[in-house]
Amino acid sequence: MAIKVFIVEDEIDVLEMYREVMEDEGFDVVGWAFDGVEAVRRYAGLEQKPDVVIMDYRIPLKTGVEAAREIMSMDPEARIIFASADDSARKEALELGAVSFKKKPFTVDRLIENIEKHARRPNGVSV
Amino acid sequence: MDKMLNDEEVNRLCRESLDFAGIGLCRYLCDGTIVFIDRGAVRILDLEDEYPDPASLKGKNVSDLVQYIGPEDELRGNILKAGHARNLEFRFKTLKGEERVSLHDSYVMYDPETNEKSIQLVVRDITELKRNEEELKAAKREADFYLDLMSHDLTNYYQTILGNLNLLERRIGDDEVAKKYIDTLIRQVAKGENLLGKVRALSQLEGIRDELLHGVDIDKCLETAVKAVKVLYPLRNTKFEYESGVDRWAIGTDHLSLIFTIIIENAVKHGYESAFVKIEVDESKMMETPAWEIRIIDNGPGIPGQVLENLFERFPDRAAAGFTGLGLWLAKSLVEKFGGEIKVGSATDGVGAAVIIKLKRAS
Repeated sequence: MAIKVFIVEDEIDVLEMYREVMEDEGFDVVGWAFDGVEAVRRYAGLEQKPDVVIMDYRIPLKTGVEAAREIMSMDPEARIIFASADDSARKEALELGAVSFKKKPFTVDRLIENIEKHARRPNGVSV
Repeated sequence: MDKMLNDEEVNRLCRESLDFAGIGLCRYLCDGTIVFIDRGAVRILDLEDEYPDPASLKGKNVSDLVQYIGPEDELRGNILKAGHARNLEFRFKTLKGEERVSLHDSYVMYDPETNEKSIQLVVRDITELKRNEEELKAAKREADFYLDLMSHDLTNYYQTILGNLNLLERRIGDDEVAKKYIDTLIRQVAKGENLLGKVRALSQLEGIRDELLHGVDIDKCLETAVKAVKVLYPLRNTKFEYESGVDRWAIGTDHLSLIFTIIIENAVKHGYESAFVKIEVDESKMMETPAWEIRIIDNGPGIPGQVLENLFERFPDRAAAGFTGLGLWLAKSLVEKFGGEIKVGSATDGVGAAVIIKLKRAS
């Protein structure tokens, strides 16, 4: 069973690149959002929750930390990997319960390693 | 023969000198009644037009002439209690409604004429200085805002480029030439991000205060730095000798990996091809404070004497030697912000250079 990924990223080219990578790896992108409000709304509407959320920090309407807090309040088991150009929120994000904080730019391999390491069901196996 | 000056002439000359230096004198009684004021103080309080003769202000109340912004009575009470107050900044409005700032040194004394307790002020106009300071702060805020915006967006562009290059790498198979082109592009992304990191640190330097310092893992920072330099200079084929340890934490900020990157980058950049960089970490002391000593030693050509003299200066005149200085100046400034020390010398065997950093140990 493929790892299900939800992506929150306001930079369209970065989002497209993530989607290409996920497709390449055989991961299933179950949804994406460009801003914090849309992220929370779309996450709430997902019938089956993703195994990993890739979350940018500086996004419109709500910060990534605010969006992550709301996502975690509705799904305390959510595995959120922050991927941001701004690492000023690293401490806050990790204290909130994010599983990882990656400072951009990082290689595709590092992103995949992180997803596989932190996914709720890495390689289809529940942890 | 030189003419001897009497007391009155000496006083007049002193007052003229103070006036020339933009300093004014004023003495008033505890209720605010002026008993003495000179031309400099009249000018600073912006009363020249209404009172061209300073003597005409004698007997007037200082509170009727300027409007202090803040608790004036409380301040006057504190000065009377303490007997003196130095370098107090006063914001006030003149009779014309203009806001000004002055710097006061106040002393409590007995007025020689009335024998009453009075406050003598030495006053200096710092309105222009404060205005410049505020303009400078606003300009810095604006510059930081643009830098932050630029750095954030550039990093996103680098992420897109790097990610797509990685995807391309997966598709080109065994095409060695194409791989070489991709490697070059990936290296340029790393160089761009490295430069952005330095510029970001430069803008953050002023804001690093003691309360922001915390324990930083030396080994983790060294590993990050070595990795970064390997990406930046893969063709140098540098060998690193470094034995990582455990629980080696120093007082600093996350900028520590940047400090190490700058030092190691310099060793590799200015060293020979297939150079050798050795990193040693040992327990040490700074005065009586437990510290870590980190030595980054290379086997390169060493640092020429004329460069060594001002190696850590910001804009030294040594561009011809290939040293622009900014990185090392930044490294030194950061180390000093952490309360540490940095110095450079020859490696022990006389070949190459050794940069020695001492940082306070974190528990």
